[in-house]
Amino acid sequence: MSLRGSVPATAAIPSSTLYVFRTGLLRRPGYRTSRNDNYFMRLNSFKKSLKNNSLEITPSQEWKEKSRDMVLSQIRQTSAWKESGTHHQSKLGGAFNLVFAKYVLKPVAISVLAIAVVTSSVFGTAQAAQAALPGDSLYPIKLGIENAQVSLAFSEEKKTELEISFANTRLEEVVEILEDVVTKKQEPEKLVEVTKNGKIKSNVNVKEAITDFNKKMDSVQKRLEKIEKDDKSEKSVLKISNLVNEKTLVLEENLLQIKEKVIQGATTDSADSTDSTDKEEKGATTDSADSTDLLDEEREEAITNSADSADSANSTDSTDEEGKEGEESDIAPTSTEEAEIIEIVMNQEDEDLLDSINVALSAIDDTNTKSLKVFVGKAVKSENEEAKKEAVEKLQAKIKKVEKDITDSEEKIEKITSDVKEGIEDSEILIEVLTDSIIEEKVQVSSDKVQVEEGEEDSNVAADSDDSTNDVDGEEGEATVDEADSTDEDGEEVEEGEEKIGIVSTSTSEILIKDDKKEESGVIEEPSITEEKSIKKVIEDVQGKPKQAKSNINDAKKLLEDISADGLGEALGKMLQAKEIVKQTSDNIDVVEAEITKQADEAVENEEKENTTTDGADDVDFTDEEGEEDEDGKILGEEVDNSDSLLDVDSVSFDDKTIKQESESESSETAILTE
Amino acid sequence: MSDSFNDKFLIAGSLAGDDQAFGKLYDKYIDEIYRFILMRVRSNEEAQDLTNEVFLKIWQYISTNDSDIDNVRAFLYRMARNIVIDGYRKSGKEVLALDDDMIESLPDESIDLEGEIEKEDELKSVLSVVDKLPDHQRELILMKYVQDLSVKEIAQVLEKSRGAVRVSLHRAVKKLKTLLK
Repeated sequence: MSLRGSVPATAAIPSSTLYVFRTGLLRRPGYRTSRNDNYFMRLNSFKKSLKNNSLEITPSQEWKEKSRDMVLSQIRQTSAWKESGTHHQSKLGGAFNLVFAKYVLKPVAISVLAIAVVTSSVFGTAQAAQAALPGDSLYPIKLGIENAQVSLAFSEEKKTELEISFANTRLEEVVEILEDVVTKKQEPEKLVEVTKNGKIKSNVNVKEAITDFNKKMDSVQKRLEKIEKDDKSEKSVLKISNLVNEKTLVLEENLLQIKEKVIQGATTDSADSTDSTDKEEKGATTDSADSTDLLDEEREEAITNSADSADSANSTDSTDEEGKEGEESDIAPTSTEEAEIIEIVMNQEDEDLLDSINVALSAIDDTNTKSLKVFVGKAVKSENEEAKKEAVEKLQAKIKKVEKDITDSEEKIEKITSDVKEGIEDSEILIEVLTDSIIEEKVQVSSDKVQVEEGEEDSNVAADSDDSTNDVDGEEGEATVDEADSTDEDGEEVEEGEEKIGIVSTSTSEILIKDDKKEESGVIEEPSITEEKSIKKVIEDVQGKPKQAKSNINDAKKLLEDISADGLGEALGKMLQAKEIVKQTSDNIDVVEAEITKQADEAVENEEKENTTTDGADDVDFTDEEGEEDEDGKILGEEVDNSDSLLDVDSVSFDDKTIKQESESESSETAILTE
Repeated sequence: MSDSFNDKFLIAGSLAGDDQAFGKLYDKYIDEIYRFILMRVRSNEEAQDLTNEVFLKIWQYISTNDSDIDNVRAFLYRMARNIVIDGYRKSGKEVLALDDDMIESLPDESIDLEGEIEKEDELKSVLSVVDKLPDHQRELILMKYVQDLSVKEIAQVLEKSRGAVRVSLHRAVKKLKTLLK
């Protein structure tokens, strides 16, 4: 019987939604509605009802399973299936197959594949391996099968696609592990698994997935380099680089989501373990924190909170200063202490995890940039106008991203500047320590030994002269020292050279200029000279960088207005320069931030020690103007002395050679494109 | 994660010989494709057969064509739609007649009968209104409000421009309003 007509137009089914929206029963009592409102409400109720009721229509589970097996078995019978993935083996027979397997395919992949194939037919291991997660015994088999699939794929395009696909699988695995941790947290009986060992284990697994992810990205980059060098058809190169370019953007998006989850997880953990004071502080800090710098903020928070947690184990009057003592206490930990120590370890784990995620993000960015270079490089030579247009679009999209990065670094600089100016942790003395701290800067220059010696002499003179206006002139190899530039008008004598961290502030543009000079004059580069700078000076230097990057970006934008081969190459070069400047700036800010945190901790620690050794010294008011000069001088002197042994120059220094090499390769690629 | 991106990965995996990848794609879309077809053919048995056919044809397509599928979901719907239309063309049966077979089969197949009679009534009532719409408008309403397809996806399924879909959808909703008066 057809239902059409069986339901009267007036819908005499009292229980039906139709009745409800036709009679207007959804209206609130006393609500006067216009005719249109009624229709709108009816329509909305109808749509809702239509959707909700239709969702009830689902096939039975039994049918689905049966049908799934049937469809898959039919697919396996098709010639297309037989040819896919394993078609080398099916097409190559007997002895040749063995030779092919022995010499062409990687032995490891083969053995894993063989194991997988044998076991899959008998025990279904390969199928089970597909669902394996890092840490599972079958996981290596899964990776082996993936590698075998890549090896067996015919075209470079297919190989690339598979590698990106497997990279995404790694991210899915990370999500699965993290979700598992969250689920366990919600179940009290499983909470124990999430504590110290459980978390460390899950993080190890996540890191394993991320390591393989990085390997895949690296492999994709190498593949791009290979297709770029090989005499591949233009269409093929454009297609592969385009594929990588687009898909890395999605991978980045996915990984950023994961990062957000990890950050959320870390903050939730920290919030749970801290007292109300901590929460207030956290709230205040989070409010003031800019959104782009969320990660660093949260990480710092996590560390601070974990320190606070440790304090409360020793004393009810918890202060940050006592944190490390509590942590390092020799007394056997009570259950509360143990829980807090676990919390610290967990926070450290989160921090490590975020670090590896950042490395993966950087790998994605590198792959994306590489694909863009390959695409633009090919489009420049191509006569295909469409390809050129697409290259322009891709460049514009990347430029937008770099612009965002510039804004982010501007905000970071602004934040760190205000931190230094306004004071950190309400202690005036810290600011003075921080602003007077000396940073060792290594600048690569093309200079001869005499210049280096002169530079060193200059630096000694400058150090004594308390001259804060000295500028660095790295290109000429003249090294000067910026004497600690205190915000205090009285100024203090600081023994420079005692506190040193390494930092490289040479921008890509500078490096490029030097490279050009080097190429022109053929001068072999001399070892780097050392320059010392205050944190404040580094910040001042860094402040000019976004402007420099912006200028490059603007140049690139202008070049893109007119689509020409030269313009595209140059625009790419400018964009890459801007990108490198931003990266360097961001790295420098990170080092400065780390140094500030480290020195702040040390200063506080020293202060604590001093207070404990001197009777009645615990009431020293650092903000007291009268006592400031003497106290500052004393404390600063001690701080500098202690820091000599505390600060590890190497641990914070950049590998400037690596940066140099990267920049060289960037500049040479840019030069090729421009040509 | 981007759905469309993951679908493409699943297809790439299938093509590389990973049958589990195709299985995942099947699991992901089986319910909605079945629902879409059942709403059109109104016969449970027929819907099951045609649903299987959709997945087999998808495999045939991806294994023989090099061209990239932009949106796998929309492509599945397009395939399902074409198969339903072909089926009717062959059988000479008029597209869409609300069959009790569909409604009657629901409790056995998917819905727990107890306490669900009201829902069944609702579904009948709602569908009776939708069935009063002309074929093309009914199709649009079902795709938009039952299957939750975006205008872009509907445009891909129907192989029309987005603008045309928007206009047609607007008219369909207008018509629906008059039916609800």
